[in-house]
Amino acid sequence: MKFVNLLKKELRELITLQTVLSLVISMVIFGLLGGTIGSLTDSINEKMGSVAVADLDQSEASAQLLEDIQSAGFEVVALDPEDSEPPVDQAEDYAHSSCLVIPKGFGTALEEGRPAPLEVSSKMAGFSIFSGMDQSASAAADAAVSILSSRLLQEGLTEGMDPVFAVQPLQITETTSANGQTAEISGQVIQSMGMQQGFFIPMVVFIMITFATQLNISAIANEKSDKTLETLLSAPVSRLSVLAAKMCASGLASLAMSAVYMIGLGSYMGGMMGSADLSGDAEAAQSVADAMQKLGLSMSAGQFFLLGVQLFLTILITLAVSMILGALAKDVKSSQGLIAPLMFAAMIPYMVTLFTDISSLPAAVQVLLYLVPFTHTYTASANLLFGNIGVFYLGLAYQAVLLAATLFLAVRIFSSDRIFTMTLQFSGKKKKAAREE
Amino acid sequence: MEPESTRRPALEVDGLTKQYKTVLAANQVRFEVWPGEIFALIGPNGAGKTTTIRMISTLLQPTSGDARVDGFSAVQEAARVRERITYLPDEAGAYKNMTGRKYLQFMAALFSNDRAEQKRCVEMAEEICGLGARLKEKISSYSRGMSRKLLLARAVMTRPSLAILDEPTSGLDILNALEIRRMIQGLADEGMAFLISSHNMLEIEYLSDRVGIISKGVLHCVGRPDELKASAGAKNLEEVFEKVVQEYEVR
Repeated sequence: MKFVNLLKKELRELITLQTVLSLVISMVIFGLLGGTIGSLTDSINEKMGSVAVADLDQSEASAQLLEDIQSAGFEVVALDPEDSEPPVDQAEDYAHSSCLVIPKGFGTALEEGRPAPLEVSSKMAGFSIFSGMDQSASAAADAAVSILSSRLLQEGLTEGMDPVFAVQPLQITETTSANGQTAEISGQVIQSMGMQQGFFIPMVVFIMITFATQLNISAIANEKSDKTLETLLSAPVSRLSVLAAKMCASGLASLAMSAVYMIGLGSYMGGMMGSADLSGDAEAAQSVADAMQKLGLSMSAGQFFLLGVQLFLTILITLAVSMILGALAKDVKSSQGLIAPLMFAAMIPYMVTLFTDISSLPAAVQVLLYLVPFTHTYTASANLLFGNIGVFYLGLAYQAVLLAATLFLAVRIFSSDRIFTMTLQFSGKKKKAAREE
Repeated sequence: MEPESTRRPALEVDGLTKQYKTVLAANQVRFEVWPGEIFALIGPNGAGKTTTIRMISTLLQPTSGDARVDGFSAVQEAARVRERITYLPDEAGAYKNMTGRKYLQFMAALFSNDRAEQKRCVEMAEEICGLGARLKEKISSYSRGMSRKLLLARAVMTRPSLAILDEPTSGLDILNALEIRRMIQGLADEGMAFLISSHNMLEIEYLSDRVGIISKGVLHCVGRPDELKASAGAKNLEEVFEKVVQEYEVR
């Protein structure tokens, strides 16, 4: 019985309203994320079942190629070869961001026993995992090579036929377009490079937000529970100095911690991705860099500056909000419950932007996500690179307004007695002013 | 001591009131503390002692009324007041990652930009707290009594016009408590004013020049311990306290 009594006490200590709330919120968030990612996966699978093809050759051989692609399980969406609009732009009408182009001379090349040209054309609109992930054209091209090659090998080599041609009867070229520019490079390579860049900046931001929040809220909660804050604020030092010192210290410490983490993560990612990709081949890496440059997907100094401004605003917003939340904390334990909402606010848009472009989501979800200031930071580099300058500046303006509001509130709290009287209690009954007497 | 009529009080509390949403924590509290005087504010738990002290320390803003330290208003001139007071909250801690000496240096630097003055403050605190070589150790390794002595030394090292001490000897053993009381007495003799809150009536009786008894936010009586005992017909301050509080609660 004593054990049961003790167990009940321990459970009461551990399972508090904030623990349950955090769990419920986590479940809802992950449920929503799962739903969104699930629908995106379905859409990708659907896309993978069909391929957009522009047959410019209109020959017997190109018709056979289309049949081969169909026999490989792809539904062929025929694009108009007479249309002046580039095939990859036409493909967008069918929700495809890549297409196959059978150029003129395809049939003649096959008849002459030389590799026939086949183009895989992709258009990049973002670096997130699902948004640029239309690999149907590449997959169809691979399938076509395989089918054609086995047919040639089954039919037997005719006199004078190059065995290499039988194995590789198609010469596939890949082009990628972005920002109105086209470069001869695989969309997958560009996306992979873009993801490495696009992954890193939001990751730094997310880690910084996490550290800054935890450091700041805990610092204030500690000072409140140790009553060192009372000693400090009754000393002849301006409240603004106390606030600024706390914010700067948390900002610098989180910056240092993020740097350490990012060095570690960078080394890990380099090991994971770099070796498999291009890091061993300087020439290939240079050609990718050139292609990125040509497509306008490399950041200019001005864009880096704008990104820096946005990162700075984000850190300040985080610090100001965590100061306010810290003022609400009665002690270190209650501060943990206050960290959770900010963590969720940082995590949800991070996860969403990692997987998809926000513009592809329902309007209500977009509004909700854009209300979270961190969303603008996660999407900043993609917005800058893909020319969504208006969206970037709107985000920057929103963050500036929010920063002014949160800073004003934080200063008001610290320069009044609200720092001592404001507490958020998770007793399940009501919020009330903290008073000792 | 000069006659009170020609001097200015170190602290003048004038109708301090603090109204929370539904609770009147302090109601028209009035008293004054003279230079060199030790004034004790006593009352049961939840009586309004800490709220009153926090208003005087400029931490809480009064709903009405004011407290003046050396003539400076805690409401209008909080920064000037903070230069003239020190506040030691009950059960206060210190920054645990600092050594005792670093903490004293840190606090001294908040009160003065003058290096020589900071050094003088720290030397005084080192002498008062008597922690010796332990000052080189982190505060996290200190016992409760050691921390309290360090904090008390911090509270008086800047020689404030008014030192506000909430439960100054809580956590100290008898010998240390006696030492601290003598220290307070000595500094008061040099002209420092003290506003003390304590539940230890023996300490109050021994230490205080005057006592104010507060209950439910109202300051009921102020007087010297012997005056209060005589008027209440009580043998000691504990009995005075009991009678005053019970009388008010019955009323």
